[in-house]
Amino acid sequence: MLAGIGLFVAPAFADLRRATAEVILVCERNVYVALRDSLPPLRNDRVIFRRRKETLATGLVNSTLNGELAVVLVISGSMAKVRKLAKVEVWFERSQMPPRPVLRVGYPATSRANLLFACDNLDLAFALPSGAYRAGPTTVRSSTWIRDPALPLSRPWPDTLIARFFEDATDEEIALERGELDVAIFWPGELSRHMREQSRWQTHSFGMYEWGFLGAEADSSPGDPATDPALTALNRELFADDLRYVIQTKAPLGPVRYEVDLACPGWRQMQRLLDRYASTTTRRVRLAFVERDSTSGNGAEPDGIVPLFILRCPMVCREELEPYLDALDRSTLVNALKCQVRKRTR
Amino acid sequence: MKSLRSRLILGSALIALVPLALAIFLLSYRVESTMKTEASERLDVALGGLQSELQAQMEEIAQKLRILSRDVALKRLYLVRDGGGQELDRFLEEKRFLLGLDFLAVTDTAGVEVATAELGPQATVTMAGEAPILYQGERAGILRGGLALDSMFLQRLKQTRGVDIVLRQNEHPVASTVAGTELSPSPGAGLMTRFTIGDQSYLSRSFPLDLGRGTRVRVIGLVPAAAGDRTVRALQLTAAILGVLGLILAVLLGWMWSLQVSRPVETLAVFADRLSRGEWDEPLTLKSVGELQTLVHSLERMRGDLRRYRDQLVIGERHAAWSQMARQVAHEVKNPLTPIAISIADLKRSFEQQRPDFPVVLDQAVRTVGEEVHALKRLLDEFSELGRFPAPVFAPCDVGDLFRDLATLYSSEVSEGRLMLDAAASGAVVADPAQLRQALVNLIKNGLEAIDGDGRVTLAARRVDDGLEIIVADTGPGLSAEQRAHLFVPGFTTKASGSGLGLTIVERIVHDHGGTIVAEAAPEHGTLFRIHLPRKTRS
Repeated sequence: MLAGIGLFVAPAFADLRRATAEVILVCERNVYVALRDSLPPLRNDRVIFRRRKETLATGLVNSTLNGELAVVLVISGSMAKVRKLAKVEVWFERSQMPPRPVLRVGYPATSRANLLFACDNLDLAFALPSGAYRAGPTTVRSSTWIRDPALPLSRPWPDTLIARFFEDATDEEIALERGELDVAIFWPGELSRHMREQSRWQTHSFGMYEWGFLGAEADSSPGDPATDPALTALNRELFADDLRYVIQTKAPLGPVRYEVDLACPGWRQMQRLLDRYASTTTRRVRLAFVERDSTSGNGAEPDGIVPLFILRCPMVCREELEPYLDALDRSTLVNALKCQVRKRTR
Repeated sequence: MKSLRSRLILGSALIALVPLALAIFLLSYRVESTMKTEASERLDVALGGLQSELQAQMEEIAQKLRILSRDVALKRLYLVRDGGGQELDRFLEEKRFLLGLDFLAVTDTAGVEVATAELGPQATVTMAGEAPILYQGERAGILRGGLALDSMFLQRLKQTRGVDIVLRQNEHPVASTVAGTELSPSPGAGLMTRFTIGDQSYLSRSFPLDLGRGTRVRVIGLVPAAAGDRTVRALQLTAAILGVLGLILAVLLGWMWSLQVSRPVETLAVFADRLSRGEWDEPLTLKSVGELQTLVHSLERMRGDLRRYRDQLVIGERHAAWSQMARQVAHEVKNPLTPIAISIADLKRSFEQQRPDFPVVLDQAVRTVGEEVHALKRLLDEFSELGRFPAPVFAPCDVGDLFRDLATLYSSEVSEGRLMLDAAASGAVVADPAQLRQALVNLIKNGLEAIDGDGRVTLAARRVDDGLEIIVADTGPGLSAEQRAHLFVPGFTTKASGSGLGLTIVERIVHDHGGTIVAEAAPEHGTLFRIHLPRKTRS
């Protein structure tokens, strides 16, 4: 209910900045803007269209597509008579979301393994200043944090953050559908087709999981995962395209035969799928989930490991909560979860 | 039941019936026992399989429910219920059909039914299972489902198990493959029970079935016992028919055997009775089985011995009679001599004494001597007649003429009715008419002397196969058997005065004619003499 009310609260705006963007199409009140900025606008951000210091129209970001295209709904002025769209300046003003009283976030429980790794232990720690939150009531399946109102935060973190841990992804989805959760975070590939196909949830977003990646034990890249039939099939069929391809900079090795690390709980499924695309070559490349050291922080990979896929964790919430999650930074919510991967060797 | 014949018939009937009855009893028992054993084995197999099948079905239901309870769609439809529960109803109906269950239902943790799918009306007894619908590791709802244990279900089991099945709960039938299942008493577990439903007889065995949630039913397997019953009934009917036929045959055979055994015995008994009464003349003619034939020969030999002893005794008695007769003759001769001697002595003394009454004494003496000499003469004549009995002169002789002659001789007795002669008597024999007349006169004379005023002597004659039979009967007091045995002994007489030679002479005449004479007791009273004369007398 509170979330619903929050939808109609007029957002405050700040940080007006000119974006590296270009108006490419005007269709009645919708204006399509190509984004070339590293910091894309968020939904409900205010957009101001100017030409030579003249304000032509103002609008709100209705939606974005992969951070590359923004659809802006004109709320004042008009862009209909503008002929040279390329000369229109695009200014974004980030909406200032008020903190929610409560944010209920669903996380995978420790015992909930995915295809790539199983956890011996799960730590939940938000990248926030020390003392921002104090621990509240904790149970086996939930943890509560209560924000210190005296400590100002740059983002609208909720007054009370409740994390609930689900041993079953379906239970987490159901909890979301039942309104017991505001946000549900899943391991890659976990989100059910039901959720993905429902119009109510299909606008789900992702948070990058930075604590590991899927890589190949090879000196050189075995191939471009975006074009390699085996790897694309792996991503499509087993992970529902939740993995993001890593652009390869090294020269490809050529045809290889992938062997999935047995430490991966889903190695058998993955291997079976990859074998369908295996070539006759004798060159074998081992695919493994590689745990990234949290202390390195520089994104450097170990020697002999070529990252192929970055893990994107689906984050599902009600549509009206999307701007709030944008404001919080989704990856912060995802990366609060740190899995100590269970080791297994051949 | 005292007669031998009755006992023989009863015995043969028992011999025919008892083994048959025993055989039928044992055979019926054996058939019944075999039928029960076969039914028991069949029920054991069927109920064992049935029990396993039901257990397997219960486990299968539980397994299906466990799997279904983890179904993501079910959990979502139950826990989210966007469509107000209708989608859950449809989902349950679809799953119920796919899983082959009769009903599926989802209830909340308080037991309130949220959605249900059922095939037909709700059954009284169900084989149901349940599985929890877990949400976040805790029971959020309960999925129940199962099969209705109705008659259709039992019919399916019957087709696979081959036995009729009745399901009872709290001693009341709830489903059955047969009509009318008010069974009483309730078949106990493991016990073979026999009972009837309608006009059909069954053998049954049962086992308890725990359906969970405190529901316990008893599954009863039924095997029709009609075939065995028909066999036993056919056996009993056959036995009854055989029994009746056997009884009739046994009675007939017993009757025939009893005739073969009892008739000779009866004849022997009559014969023995005759022997005991001294009637030893008629031989025993009996043809029978070997053992009795030996007895017949023994008795016949005994009769012959007795008769021979009697004849010897008669001869001995006759000899004794002759001796007696001689002594009597001497005595009779001696008796007149004494008066003669006395008369002569009186006469001598009177003559020597010159007594004046000598003439009187002489006259008296002469008269006395004369009388005594006459008596001696008469006596000697009779003995002389007996001793010098002439040989018969045979000539054809008609008995009718003889009777007419006798009627003339005894005309006064005939007219008085004391003597009756058969006027129609006829028949010819070769005989000495004078001697035959003499014999009949002696017999008539004896008879007339034996009868009193109302008595009668009857003469009759008739032809027989080999000659002529003349019967002389009187209605006198009759004779005892012993008297009849000594009747022809010379000197034997039952009268106060008589020489006892009359009947001896009759027997001599008949014997000389080659015939026989028998003295019998007359039918009413008196004595009957039966004279048999051959048609032709051997010279």
